[in-house]
Amino acid sequence: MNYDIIDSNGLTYHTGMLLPVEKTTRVSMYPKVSFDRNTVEGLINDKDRVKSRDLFGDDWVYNQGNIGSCNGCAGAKALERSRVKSGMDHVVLSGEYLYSRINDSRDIGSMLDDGMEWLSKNGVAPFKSRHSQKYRERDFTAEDVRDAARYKGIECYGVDTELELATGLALGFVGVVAVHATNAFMNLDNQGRVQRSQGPGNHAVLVDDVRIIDGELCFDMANSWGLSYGDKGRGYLTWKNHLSQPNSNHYFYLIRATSTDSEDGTPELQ
Amino acid sequence: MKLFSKSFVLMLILVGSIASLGANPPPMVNAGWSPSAPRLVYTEITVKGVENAKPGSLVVLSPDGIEDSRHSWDIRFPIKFDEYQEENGKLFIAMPNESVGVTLFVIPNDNGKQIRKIRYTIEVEGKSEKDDKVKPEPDDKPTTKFNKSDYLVLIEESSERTPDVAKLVNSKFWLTELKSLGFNRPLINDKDSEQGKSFIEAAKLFGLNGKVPFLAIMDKDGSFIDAFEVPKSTDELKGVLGL
Repeated sequence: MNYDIIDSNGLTYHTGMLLPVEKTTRVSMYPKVSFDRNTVEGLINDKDRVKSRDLFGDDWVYNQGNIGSCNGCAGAKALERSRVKSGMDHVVLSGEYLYSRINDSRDIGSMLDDGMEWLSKNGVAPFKSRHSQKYRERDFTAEDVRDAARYKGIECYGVDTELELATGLALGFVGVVAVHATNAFMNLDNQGRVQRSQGPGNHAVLVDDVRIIDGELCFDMANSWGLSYGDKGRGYLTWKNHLSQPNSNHYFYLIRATSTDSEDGTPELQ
Repeated sequence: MKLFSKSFVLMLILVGSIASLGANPPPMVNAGWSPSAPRLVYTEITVKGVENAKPGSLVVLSPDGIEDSRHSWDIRFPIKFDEYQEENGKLFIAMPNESVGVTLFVIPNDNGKQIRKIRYTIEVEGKSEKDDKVKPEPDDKPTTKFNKSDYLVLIEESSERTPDVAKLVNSKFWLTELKSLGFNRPLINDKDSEQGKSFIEAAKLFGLNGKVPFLAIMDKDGSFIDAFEVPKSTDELKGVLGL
């Protein structure tokens, strides 16, 4: 369900994730055993590694506005990043389009599992200005549906533990997780970590990197609440303070690979 | 130390030509063409010649299946080696006491077809395993011609991405430096994607058995240029690419 949070400046932020009756997924689970903690830390601390914050700067931060499209936005923006990491051009994808496919045309929020299943099977349409703040299926055209087929996550899988999530992010994949946003979720400490905020899960966000702070795995979240949230739209999440309780109700997801697009100017092997 | 003179090579050619009169043709070696390639339809091109030879012996290589094409030879290694000669389209090599790697370039007369590149290696006959473990110095490693309009492509099984590959694809060199140097951003294709499958079939022509991960180079028109194993470090990759 949609849940609004009002910050100290009076700005309102919307969530929009539904709670499943039981924890389930229609997406394959990660088939490989996670790396051990030392291997993950070795990857994270590699001196030559590019941080996602440096790769995906302010231009990448989106604001879902007044509708409960967090899950659509998280999935679409995760797919955008995954495409660019695979060498493709940056195409802005429509979180609203994805949301409209999984909400029964009502602004009531959506299920994490439905978003990932849709983007891997049917794809996400490129964003157009007419999509802004739309959420009904009829708000989108046949052209949008056709274009969406060009932008799919072809290798999506579920993760269910801290180390599985950390392994995938350390390898360079991009994911979508559930958090439970409360008023505390608005505050970051001096290391950029979001204040403890636990619950069954009412908000979907993408995570595109992992780092170690004070010996703890911290997942780099890019929220969909614009640049005014947190550290220019971002904040660090930990399993203990943010993800463990939502994970008892939701599987999280990572996108390993994306479809290629012959129309985007990158040649295909002849 | 120089093993042979050019005149010695020519003498070997003459002797070899006489000796080969009436002899059985050398065995045909398939360079790896796969009839199951879904999108790549090629005439089978092979290099005919021995795979092992004693130091000082004459090795004769000849192309097969190159109708309607021109061709040329190139020595990949040893780097400093000139005991060879091209005659009537064949390559005559005075076998040194180390392995010789050659590349056969096949250039179709039809400009619409792509250039083919077949790699072939002759090992030293009777060489011990111990000798095989002696690796060439990094400076002796062959480099691949990599142009700014080309694309570097990783083909991988994404569910089995290794720490070494992860370090490469998350490195400054991969994600930002190549682009800032004026090259195209490197591409990543999963082996199960259509593109991934095409690359795997094409790589078989270059002596790779299709085992992922590997790196390939594709030009701006989508022609396959080269393929090689993923180097252990970005510095090593820069060396392979000649950067």
